[in-house]
Amino acid sequence: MSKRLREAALVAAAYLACLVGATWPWPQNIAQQLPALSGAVLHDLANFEHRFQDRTIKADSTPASNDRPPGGLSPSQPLAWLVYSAGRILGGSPVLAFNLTWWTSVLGIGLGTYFLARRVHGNAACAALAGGMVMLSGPIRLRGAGHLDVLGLGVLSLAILAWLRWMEKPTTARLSTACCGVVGVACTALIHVSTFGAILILGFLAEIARRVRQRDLIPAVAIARGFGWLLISATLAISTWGLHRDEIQALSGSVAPAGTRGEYEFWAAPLWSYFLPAAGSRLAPLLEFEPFQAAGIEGKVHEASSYLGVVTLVFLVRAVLWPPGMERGRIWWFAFALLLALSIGACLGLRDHLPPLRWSRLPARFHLGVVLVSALIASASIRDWLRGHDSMTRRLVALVGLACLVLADGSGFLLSPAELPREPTLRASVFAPANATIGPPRRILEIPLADGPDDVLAGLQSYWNLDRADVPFASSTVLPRSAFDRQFGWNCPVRVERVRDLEFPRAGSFETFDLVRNADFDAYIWLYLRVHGISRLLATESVEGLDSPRFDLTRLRSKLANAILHEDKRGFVVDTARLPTPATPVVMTTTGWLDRQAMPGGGGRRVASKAALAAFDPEPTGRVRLAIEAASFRHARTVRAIVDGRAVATWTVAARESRLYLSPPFQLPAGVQTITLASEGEESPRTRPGDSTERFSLVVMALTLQRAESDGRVASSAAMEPIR
Amino acid sequence: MDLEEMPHPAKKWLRATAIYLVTVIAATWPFVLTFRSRLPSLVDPLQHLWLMRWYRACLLEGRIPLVCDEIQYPLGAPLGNFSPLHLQSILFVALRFFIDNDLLVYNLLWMIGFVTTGLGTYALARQLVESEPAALLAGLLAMISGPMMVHSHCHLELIYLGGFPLFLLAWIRFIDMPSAPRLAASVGALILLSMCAAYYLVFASLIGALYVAYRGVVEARQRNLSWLSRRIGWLVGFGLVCLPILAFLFYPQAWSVANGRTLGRSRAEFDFFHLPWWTYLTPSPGHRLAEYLPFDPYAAARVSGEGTAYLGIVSLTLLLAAWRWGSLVKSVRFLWLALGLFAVLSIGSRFPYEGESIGLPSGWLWDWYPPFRLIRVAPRMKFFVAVIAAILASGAYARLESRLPSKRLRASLFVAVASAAILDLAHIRYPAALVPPLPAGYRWLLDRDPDAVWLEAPQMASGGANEVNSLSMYWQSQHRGRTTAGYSGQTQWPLDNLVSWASPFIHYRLTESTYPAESNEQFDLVTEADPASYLWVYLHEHRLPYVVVHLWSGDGHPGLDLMRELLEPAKVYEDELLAIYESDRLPIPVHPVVLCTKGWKGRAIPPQDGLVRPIGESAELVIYNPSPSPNLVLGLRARGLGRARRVRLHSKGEVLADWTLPRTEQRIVTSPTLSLPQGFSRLLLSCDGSIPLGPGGHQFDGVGGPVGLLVSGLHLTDQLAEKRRVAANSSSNGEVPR
Repeated sequence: MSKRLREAALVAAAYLACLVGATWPWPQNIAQQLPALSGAVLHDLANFEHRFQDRTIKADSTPASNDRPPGGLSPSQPLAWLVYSAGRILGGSPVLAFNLTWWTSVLGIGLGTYFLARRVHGNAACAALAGGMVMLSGPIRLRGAGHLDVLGLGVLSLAILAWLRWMEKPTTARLSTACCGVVGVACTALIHVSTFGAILILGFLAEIARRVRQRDLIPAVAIARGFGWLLISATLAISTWGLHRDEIQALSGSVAPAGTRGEYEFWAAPLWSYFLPAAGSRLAPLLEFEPFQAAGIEGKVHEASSYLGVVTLVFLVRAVLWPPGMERGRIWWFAFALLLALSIGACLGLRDHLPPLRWSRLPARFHLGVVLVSALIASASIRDWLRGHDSMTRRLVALVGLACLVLADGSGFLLSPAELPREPTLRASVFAPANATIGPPRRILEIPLADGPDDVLAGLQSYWNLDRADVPFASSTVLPRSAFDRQFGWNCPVRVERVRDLEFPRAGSFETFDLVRNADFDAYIWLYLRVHGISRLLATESVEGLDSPRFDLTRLRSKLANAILHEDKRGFVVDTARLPTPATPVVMTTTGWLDRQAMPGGGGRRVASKAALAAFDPEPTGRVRLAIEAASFRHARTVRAIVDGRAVATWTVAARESRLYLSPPFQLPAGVQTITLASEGEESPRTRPGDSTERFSLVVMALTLQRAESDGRVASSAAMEPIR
Repeated sequence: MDLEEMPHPAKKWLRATAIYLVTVIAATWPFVLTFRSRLPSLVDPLQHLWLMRWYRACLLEGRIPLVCDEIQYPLGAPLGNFSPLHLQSILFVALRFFIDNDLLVYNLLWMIGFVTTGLGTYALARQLVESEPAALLAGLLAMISGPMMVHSHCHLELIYLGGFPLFLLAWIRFIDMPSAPRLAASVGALILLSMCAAYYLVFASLIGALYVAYRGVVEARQRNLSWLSRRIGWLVGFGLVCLPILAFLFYPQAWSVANGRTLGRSRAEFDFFHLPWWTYLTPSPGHRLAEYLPFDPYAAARVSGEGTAYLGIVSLTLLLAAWRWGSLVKSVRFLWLALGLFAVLSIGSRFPYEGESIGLPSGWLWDWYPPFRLIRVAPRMKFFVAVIAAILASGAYARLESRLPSKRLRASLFVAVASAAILDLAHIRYPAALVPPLPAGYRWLLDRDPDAVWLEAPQMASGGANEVNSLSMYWQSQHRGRTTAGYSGQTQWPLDNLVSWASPFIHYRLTESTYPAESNEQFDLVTEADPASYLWVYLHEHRLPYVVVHLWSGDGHPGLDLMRELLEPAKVYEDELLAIYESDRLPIPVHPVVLCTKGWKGRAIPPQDGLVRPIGESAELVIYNPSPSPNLVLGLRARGLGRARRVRLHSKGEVLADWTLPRTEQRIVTSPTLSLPQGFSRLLLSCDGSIPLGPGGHQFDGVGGPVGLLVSGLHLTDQLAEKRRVAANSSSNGEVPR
């Protein structure tokens, strides 16, 4: 074994020991426990396992499958998935395979940084410290409970190393290695691709500047390098497109809302977060306050906290005062400044014109690059500082002291190891084909309908539903499920936030379902289930072994009591066919209803030039009125409400100002009917690059369908009162 | 600027004074415009004014100022419970001869405090940094540093920081080369420093010792082992000269402790004050840069004014430069050492870390260095940090300035740096409070009854830093009547234990909107008392013929309205500010009342008991019996401390009740029927032993001496009247009385 390999093995062992210490007691139960039962972990696990089992999303398995791009389902993580698959092939359980991926990713961060730092400043001990500084930095520790894709930082380090080697001596072998490194980066997360791209550009500019200074643009070596630059860039572009096409399309395509400008602005890292230890750091109590809480942004601490660590910070300051000698030192300083600026959202304008910057919804994640680069600079400064000590013993003591400080500062991985809970018996039985009493159903609506990648229940549902032919209305996605949410999510009567309301469902017509006001719960859920052809409701109140999530569905259970097929203390199953037919007119949104838009006085939804409502009137001979509160986009438009090819109302909807519009009384034919809202034209809201290009014509704030009284007035004149 | 270019010494000092004067005016703008009518705040400055007026009154009237019996009635206020303000009072008395405006004189003293701080630092810097502009900058930076600006609102004594650099200068010269003149200079500087602020005497002892130790180590390294032995005699001489003078200066404090008027500073109080380390780096509320912070860390960490110590961006930058490129200061290592020491000590005695409390050097000093027990706010060491940081910063500035080729550039640099410091450290629109004139009600009352004694409502405890308390005592210095009001720096526990806690007018009860209830109200330990009866008994027992209610304090004291309804029959005066009531006009009680008077110690809240008041081996109860009824029963809820206690109730040597109360839990016991005469009776509650309290933290603050019993409730009832009341209620409900 060569000396370098021995060193690397020693460093790897040290990192392993540090990591075991920092995550203890999780390593004791590594085969049974996931690092945390977070939405992100469960999502990744379900995604890996899904791909490992080579399953595909069937077109008919979910109502919105066509609108759920694979990129939206999960960021591609080929490298992590390969490790996971290796673990599974070697006989590991999904949990063990996932943990193997986690450990290799985090250790890879340390080792990757070590190799890069060793190259940059040539000191093995300080390079080892740099690896530890990155591995135990705030952004990595806070992501310990998920986001394996961003934990692929180690690959980025190795790719930069390969690129540096090629820069130093442009041979074919080194160029090939650099290209492999580039592919490796593309196999991780898009944020690493963007970071690598930024460093590549800086390196290129530095190279050009150097050659201009040396009047060295012509020689053959420059041409060879020029070819190399092209090849590396092309490899990066092609591999990124090949591996992340769906994600890029979802994020930078014209379909809103994935990766909106506002979202990008929100998810910037505050500058101070680089200096102030946040939750998880052992030094955080020294502040005597929680900075994210004090700033009122505690909700984004896991993404935006960028604490570099006290050792890194001190030696970064020292490096400013006494610049250390490093290979291509200027590139690191420029990269540090650029990535820092990107991470704090200072380049919002640049994002509009540079599509790669739109590949991440979360600019804060550029702090991963900042962590890497600052560790390189700080470790070089440490090397210089150690040189100032005249004896070997002193240097050793200083180095050990710093290592202890790094470990003490960064030992707080935010983990809460837990075993994967078993699927509730009732839930499993619903999907069991052998259970003739209960199923198997074709379409099941899960109560509550969980939402978003951070939702634990959604993650669990995704995992439990892996090997099922019928994917119910539940799953977890990383990117917003735009089409699903528009048609099935926001208007769902049993969304998670609604179910959390202990008063839900209220008696009488007092519920609000997205835009629909004053709706009767019984009538609305009947219509919703009927329109979407759902045959079963599956309610989960709690999961064994989990304190959270836990829902109190007592009111809902009693409301649906007559239709319950089977129940236990943790949930119940409802046969939707047994639900009573509505006694009041009811309406709900179906197609053509776009994203939410903030309006003065509240939020509404954008509406395309043609949008459909499903409506039902239990008395076909009776008369109803449709009321909408809306504003037209940019200028006044004529809007018609059409039932069965006949216009039942025509309004001229004013621009900008939201007003109430009432239809004349009209009759709805028997059964579920479609009311089409047809507007006069639609326009794109795009005013600058990066904006959504999706065209729309109206913003509807609220709507309701009421029985018309004999005097021609809407039954409840105050029906629209609670809109705001 | 080279030494040769320095102007004449008098001109230099005049120039420095002018610069500092302008700086203070700019940094506190527009306060200077309102010097005649406003004070930096209405709490501590008014207390300071009262004290200085008291000194002056004693001087003019030939009285000994040791105890002022005009405030904090009935015990009077011992001088030792106040910040002494020696130097400030001398200046006040002198200025007051020429200026007939207390506020203006106070504000001039305030200004003198600032400017002398600058000049003192300037003097030290001139010796340590051989650059006139750098020395000027040092004075400026120290003078408007965060600690100075924050405390300028409250603590006149603390902004007299100029004595510290003067002492340090004299001490360095004395230790470096002892001689009789230098000894005299050191003694003089220390006494001056002590007269500025007593706190600084304790802190100065530390820096003095540190310098001796530092020089000792330096000399020992150079094998000059006799260095220390040659100075021991001088040091002993220094101590012998200083001690008698200090003993004279601080005699009132010693008297106060010796006479039990104060219990000294408790460890709990010392532990309470701490300073977050980041405050040296972070602009605090009031500073311009604080507005640009993404959030208010001071509010988030609940840091009080005592915990703020922002040094300013100029000082911090220059300190960084001093660390990087060195500081052109003599004894630079000592200064860095002192900076580190005082910064660490200023953090406080304990640091909370993940549920644990970690001991810090300040706490160790409190344990092992007795003078530290005289102070309660270790973070005030930040003042010394500010001066030392300013000296080190000026060294860095001197280095920077020395690189500039022309005089004009150097002048421009000074203006730029000084302006930046002022802009950064100035308090935006320095807040100052208008001092209301003496209300006419006081004059009316004293005209009516020149010997009047009154209770000032809302009534504050003696340590209650509150506008009502401070204004009342300042007004007292003008009308010279006798009042219960008076806010001393140190709590006078005997006074509060005797009158404050049991008062029906105590301010924290008046903050309750439903206080007092129509009947059955709790007053301190006494439960289910009739408010009107209790009020009458309290005022008559403590011989308070008048009650002065501050109507302007009503917003924060909604209970005052209900209390005034009770007092209404006794009203003799009312204007917009004051309402005055005469106790004798209140209706005579119809219900029996019990009142805690002598021997009751401070309020404590042990977790297992709730609110209690401990007693030692005996305590007095005053009972008012409205009719010669033999049916009074006294109930007591208490537990023994240390062990089960035998408790007796005596009256004139006769044992009226004999109980045994357990140690483990609060128990309710009742007396047999008491046959007490009509009117006031004095009963003695005695306990068969007591134990000294262990380290109980803040639970037992103000509880001096041994304790035998923890009493949590007292109840006096007329059984016959009670039976009649129950019977009346039952018959009105159609029930047959049993």
